[in-house]
Amino acid sequence: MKKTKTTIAIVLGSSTLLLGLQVLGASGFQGAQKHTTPSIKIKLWDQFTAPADAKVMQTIINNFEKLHPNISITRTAMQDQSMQEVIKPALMSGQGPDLFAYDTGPGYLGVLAKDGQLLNITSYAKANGWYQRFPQWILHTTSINGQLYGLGNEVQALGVYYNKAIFSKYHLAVPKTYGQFLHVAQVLKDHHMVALEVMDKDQWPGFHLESAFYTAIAGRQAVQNVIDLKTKAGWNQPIFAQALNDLRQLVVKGYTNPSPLAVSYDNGNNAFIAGKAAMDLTGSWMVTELYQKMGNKVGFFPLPPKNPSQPDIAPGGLGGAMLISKHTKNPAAVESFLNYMLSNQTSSIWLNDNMIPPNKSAAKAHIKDANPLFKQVVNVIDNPAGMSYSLDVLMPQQVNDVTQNDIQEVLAGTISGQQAVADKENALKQAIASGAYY
Amino acid sequence: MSISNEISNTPTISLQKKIKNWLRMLMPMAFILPALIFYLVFTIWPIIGTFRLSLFTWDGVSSVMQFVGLKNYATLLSDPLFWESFGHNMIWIVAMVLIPVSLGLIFAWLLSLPGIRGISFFRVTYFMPVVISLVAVGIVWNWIYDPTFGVLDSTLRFFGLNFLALPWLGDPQTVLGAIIVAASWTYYGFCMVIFLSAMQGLDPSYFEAAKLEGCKTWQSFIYITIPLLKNIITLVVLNSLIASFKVFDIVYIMTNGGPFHSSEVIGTYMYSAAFSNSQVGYGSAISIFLALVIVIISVVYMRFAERE
Amino acid sequence: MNNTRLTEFKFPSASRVVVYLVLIIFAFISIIPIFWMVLAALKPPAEIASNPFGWPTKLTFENLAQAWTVGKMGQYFLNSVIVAVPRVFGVLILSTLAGYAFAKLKFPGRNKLFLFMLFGLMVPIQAMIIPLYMDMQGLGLINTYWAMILPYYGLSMPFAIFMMRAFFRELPDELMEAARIDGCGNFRALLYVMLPLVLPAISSLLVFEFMWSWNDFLIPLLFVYTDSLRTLPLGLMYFSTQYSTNQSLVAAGVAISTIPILIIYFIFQRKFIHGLTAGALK
Repeated sequence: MKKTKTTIAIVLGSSTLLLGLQVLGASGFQGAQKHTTPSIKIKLWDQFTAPADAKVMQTIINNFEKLHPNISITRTAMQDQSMQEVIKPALMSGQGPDLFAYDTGPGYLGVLAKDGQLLNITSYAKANGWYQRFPQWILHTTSINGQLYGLGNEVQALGVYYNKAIFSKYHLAVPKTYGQFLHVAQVLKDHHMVALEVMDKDQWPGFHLESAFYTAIAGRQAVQNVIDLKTKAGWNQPIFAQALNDLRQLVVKGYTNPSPLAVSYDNGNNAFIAGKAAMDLTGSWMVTELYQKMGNKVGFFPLPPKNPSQPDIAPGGLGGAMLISKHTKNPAAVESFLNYMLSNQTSSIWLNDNMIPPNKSAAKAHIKDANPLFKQVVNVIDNPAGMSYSLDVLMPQQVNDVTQNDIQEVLAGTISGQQAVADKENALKQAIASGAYY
Repeated sequence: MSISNEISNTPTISLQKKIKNWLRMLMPMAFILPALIFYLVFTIWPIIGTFRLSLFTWDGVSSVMQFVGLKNYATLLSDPLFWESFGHNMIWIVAMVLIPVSLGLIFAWLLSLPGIRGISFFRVTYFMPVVISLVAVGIVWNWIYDPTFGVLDSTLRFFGLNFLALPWLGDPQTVLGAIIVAASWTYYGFCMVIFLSAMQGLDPSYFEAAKLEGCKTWQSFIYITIPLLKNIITLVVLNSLIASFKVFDIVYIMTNGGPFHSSEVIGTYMYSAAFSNSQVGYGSAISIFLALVIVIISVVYMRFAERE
Repeated sequence: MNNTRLTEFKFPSASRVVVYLVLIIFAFISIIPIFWMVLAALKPPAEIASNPFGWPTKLTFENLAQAWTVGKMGQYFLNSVIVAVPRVFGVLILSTLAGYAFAKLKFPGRNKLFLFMLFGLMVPIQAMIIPLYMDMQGLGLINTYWAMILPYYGLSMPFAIFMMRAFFRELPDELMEAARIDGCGNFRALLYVMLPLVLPAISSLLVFEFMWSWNDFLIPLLFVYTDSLRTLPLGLMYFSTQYSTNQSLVAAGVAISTIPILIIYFIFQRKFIHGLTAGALK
């Protein structure tokens, strides 16, 4: 009994102590900060959770605050998925951010814009030369009916990373056509190598496979016609079915790891990093990590076109966009910060962190000191022929839902490419009918 | 009206008695009231809000909410994906009640047997998987199940069992089982801790009596320990049942319901409806329907388990 | 040594070997994945890719140090404590009182009210998070510590009351009668007669509640925006970029943040059980 009492005494004592600590920190219970000097406070929620990216964002904020001493910006970082959970109640409650990072596309930016949660920044953009500063497709992605509701903040390209050591060991050159790509894969297979690591357990990598194969096999124009609703058949065309069947053939022929659906994105990249696979089809966001872990052993090329007359381009998209809340009390200050954040003078800061800001050709001017891998990626993005489309950020969520499962089925061989593109077109038709795509 | 009638018809002394009786009856409520108030404010009120949302079509942010009555529920009943997920939950329930609960019970019993050394070590060890953040659980089990370098398939191949070295998380046939194993791993320690707490309180005289009658150790487990722990077993089984209906995190982290919905459970299906597809009303309807199913099953189970 | 541990039973040595074998196999199963995680925290990041299970070529504490600073663990740790302590003790007090009443006191509508209290367990938290947000917003608690504490005085009740009720029900009714004869009221009967006997349950519940509070992600994420109020699990976000996860840092961060839970478990399982059984049954 005595022992019990001492234990209880210890527990109670220590909890009292902690409660005391808590009272000391009681100001936190009010949740208010008491900085008084800058008169305008901006709340920024961004997606820069990784320390290097966070540092870049903070540097830009600090520079801006020096230029505008009356404005102070506090940033909170959270992941994409967390943002999706938080943003709607936060905006409605009026306690949300003034400026925040969010996914583009009809299911995300589109929903918020249609519900009047976003500030229309068209006239500010026009007055400040955004239509000259950024490529047209960038602004188009965040526009609805010609009105601009956000600004894409990072350009991402999809392509193939390859292990240079393995390539030179088997005397392989970077393929320029899809035929050469298949030849490379065959040679690697003959040497019992996994030619291409395909990892689609997490479902979203499937979007990138789809976009890359549509671009390489069907070509950009075919994709664009569907996006712009210029064809009657939409996705349901033999050429897209062919693209998916070609993807499936890689698995059938044994060019990939045997069970792509069982491999997580992180594990798949790890296999590539460890030299267990010669190629890895993913996006430009992997530059930092791959270069850090593989050094000059890694290179990058777009998945080459099947038809040699097509340009050798990569699908590109926006990593996300910065949107301004309709509820902000200081729209002018927020707009001017966004303008500064992606001005030409901050481009070099982003590029130093291997991120590609959407500014027209800003990239070329600043990459002299960049690592060779990043230079290759920038060259792909700066291709005079332009870029193709990364589809998941353009399609409505209903379509993406169908696609992510169908790509898995195609990889597993349980449905044909024909079936998958028919499903996708049906979903798109339904989305159009319900007003979710325009 | 009836109260005033009663008062006028009864003598004052018995009225006082009556009040006293009433007070004695209501006194226990004072123990419950604080919890009840918080529960009403922070649980029941939001659930009512969820029910309200289930009657609307709403994208989660629009100021316009379209009242659709029970349409979301009608959609639900004819939604094949919902029923597929529901079936997966049923498998989940059976597995979770059988595997981790019985493991927990057996380990709690073994660890309360006399003469077993290192009890503290085993207790802490079995509890460790329970406390690990699910993010890490996802990473480690993804390594274990990886078809190329995963330790499971490597081991199987090492023993020449190549035909068993399956793509566990990528095959519709195996994915649910593979996640259930990982989930059980995080749960049997939890069951064990509850059973252990209960076994500490058992009266040793029962066991002494059993010993005098020549009971074997395992017999006393089945005929004495288990009946004595009736209430606790009800607690753990019902909790596992409810948790299996609601399961979300571990499936979301391991496969997100894939490949092609073969590990989809109601929790992940509801989540993608409400958060990815902006169908907050439909997501709410799924949850309310689910809650009603659980209530019915729980009441039936409680009736059965707590019958005197 | 210990009265309740069935000391009198005969336990043949052959079956003892089997018991140890089973215990050790499952100890191995329990611990080996965690061992790999800890190993991942201690090996250079590049080695995770080539060799996630093997022994590292060299041990490094770099990941742990980096996880500590990148995950802002020093700052978030205190917040986690500030949230956990009132949350855990509040839940324990509320649920012990209510669980006792549901198990041992008689009043009209007892079982119906208990079922009503259980109902909260049946709706997934993700489903009621939006209405709960509105609720907290209406109370003006968004972005305060209270937003991470108070909801659990309601949300934790179903399980906590259910558990306490089950343990109170295990105790014989004769104890209540004896307490009544000694002139104890309901509250004194709880405090002096029943409470010491359910301490193992309370200590387990304490461990669970602490663990759930310590690992809680969704509510701190949704209800608190200011960096200075964030709790430990939110630090895990800083180990991931948009698409990929730094597995070394997650392993290191999780290893560090799990230690307090294990310490709490160790203290409360050991001390309470020993103290209790020695005292209560004499």
